[in-house]
Amino acid sequence: MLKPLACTATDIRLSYALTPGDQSTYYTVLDISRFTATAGASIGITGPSGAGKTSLIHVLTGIESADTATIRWGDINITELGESARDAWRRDHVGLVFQDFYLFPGLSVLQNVTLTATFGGADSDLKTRAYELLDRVGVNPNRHTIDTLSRGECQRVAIARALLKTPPLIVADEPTASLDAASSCTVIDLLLEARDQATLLTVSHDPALLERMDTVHILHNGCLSTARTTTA
Amino acid sequence: MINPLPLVIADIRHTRTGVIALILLIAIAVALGVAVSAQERALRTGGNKAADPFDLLVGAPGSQTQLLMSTVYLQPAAVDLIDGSILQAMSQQAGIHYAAPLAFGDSYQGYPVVGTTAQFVSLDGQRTLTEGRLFQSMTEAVIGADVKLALQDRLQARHGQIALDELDADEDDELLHRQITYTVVGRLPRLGSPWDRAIMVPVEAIWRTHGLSTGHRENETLSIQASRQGHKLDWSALKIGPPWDAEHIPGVPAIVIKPVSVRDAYVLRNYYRRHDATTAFFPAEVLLELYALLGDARFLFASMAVATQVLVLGAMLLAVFAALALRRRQLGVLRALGASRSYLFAAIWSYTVIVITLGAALGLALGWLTALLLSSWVGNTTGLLLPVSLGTKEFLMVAALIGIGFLLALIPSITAYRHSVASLLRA
Repeated sequence: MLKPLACTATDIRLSYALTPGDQSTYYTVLDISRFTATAGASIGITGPSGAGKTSLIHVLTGIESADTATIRWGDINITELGESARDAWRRDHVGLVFQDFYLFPGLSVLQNVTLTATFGGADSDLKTRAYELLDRVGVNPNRHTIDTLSRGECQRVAIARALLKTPPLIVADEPTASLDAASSCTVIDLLLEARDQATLLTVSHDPALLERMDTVHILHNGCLSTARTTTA
Repeated sequence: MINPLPLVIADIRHTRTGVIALILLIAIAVALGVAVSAQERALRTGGNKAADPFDLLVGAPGSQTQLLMSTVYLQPAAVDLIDGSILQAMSQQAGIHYAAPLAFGDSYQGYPVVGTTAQFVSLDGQRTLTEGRLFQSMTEAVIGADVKLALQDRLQARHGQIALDELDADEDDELLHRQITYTVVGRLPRLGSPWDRAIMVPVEAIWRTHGLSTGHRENETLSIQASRQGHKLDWSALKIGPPWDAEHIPGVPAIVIKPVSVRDAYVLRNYYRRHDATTAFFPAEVLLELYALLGDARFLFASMAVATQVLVLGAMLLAVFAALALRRRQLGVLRALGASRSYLFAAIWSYTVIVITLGAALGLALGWLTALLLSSWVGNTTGLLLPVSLGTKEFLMVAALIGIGFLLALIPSITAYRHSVASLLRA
């Protein structure tokens, strides 16, 4: 099992062309001189819609390449990795939770959770772990379809999928955005439970979630400022 | 080790209506090609097998195809007659094992009644009857395997294509006077040719019922005696089979010659081809010409089938591209979760080739079934047995389509492979 990852990111700049293909006019999405996370910390990022929160976690996890950036997770500088190597790094180190879950129709609940095991890399018995995780998140692993799951159940299955390989970094993008209060509470508990073994990075507008993060950053006009830090 | 199969199978299950439609489209296109190819071979095989007993055919000068159709496939047609003396001369000619006349024109309940010799019916002992024995008199008949009659059944043939009750009174009396009642005495094994539906009787009986001489002087003498004495002629007492008397032998539509050797076959063919009053040919010669025409038709159909397959593969690719366009975000999610480009490539390629392979395999089976149904219909209509089988040609055709499909499947796979994760997620 890998240890939770610490992050040091500097000089993050990301801009998009105003007109696709025309690099002469562009707008800045991210302009962050430094971002850090200690290993095992829980970090919330909030800010107005369109502020670049999702872009930031995409850059931090190597999904998107910034114009300039140096991002180091543990001993690995992911900005020096090629796209394929970043895919493999995410596969082995990152558990991702999306606002819209992105479960795969046609796959059963269990198959959705074990999907990332089919990407290669892991040899351990992940099916047993998937059963344990689904038991913990309270979803019947024997359901053959995800079509009948509620939104709360879908998000819990997505969290189980993210936790399958016990990743040292969990990244959740608006994990409670479309959930009712009770489901939100369950999801927050599940994410925080995982914090013992992972660094947790969440993007959220949800005060209930942000309140329970160690550190909360606000992203505004592409710049990051620290709103609150709790020292354990 | 990457394993995209669970995702591919789930995707196929999730989009099964569209997948089934694609599989059916491919299957129909493949079936068209397979059926045309298998059917053509079945026609060749069945046609050749039916012509096997007819080593060399001699007829009056005219259309060889028409003569072939009349003799081998028993298709009714007006055929000119050869002078009977030629048949008689053949019995003394070197190189001829036997020469059997064939006389057509009568029928019984839709079954053609063919006049010939017992020697030809049994191929001079090479062919064993499944029931009974060969005819030994003018009132006996041997039936083909598909004739719905039993041994000892009795029958009266219709004269030509005209029923007796359709004739006027004078003709009626005359025909009734000559009418022969046959008794079924034997049944041939299945030949896989229209002859399975034939009723074979001594050629003399056909001659007699058509008011002609029966080829034997003693028969004429008996007939005259019976007429003078006012007795009814005992048909069964009349002589049948070769040799015939030259002055009493009527004309015949066709003669089958069994040559002694291959060399004799060519000598005889050339001889009767040069003869003013005859033409001669090996059935295979005419069949080859017919197959050439058939080949042209097959080429046309096969070209249409290939064009259809190309169109369907194109449609399939468009459908895959459309599906990928709708699922770009899903592909992005897979990459974000850590799936490699090769995983996506393998998933899309597998999905496409599974659909193509299933469609092609189903098409192979459908094509085979279609050819079977066609053969069955042709068999029921003509009596010609068309043995349908899938040969190397059909398997190669399907393998080529699958191979092309596998290559074409690379296009959408590579397209998805080339996109970055971020661009897929932004879709």
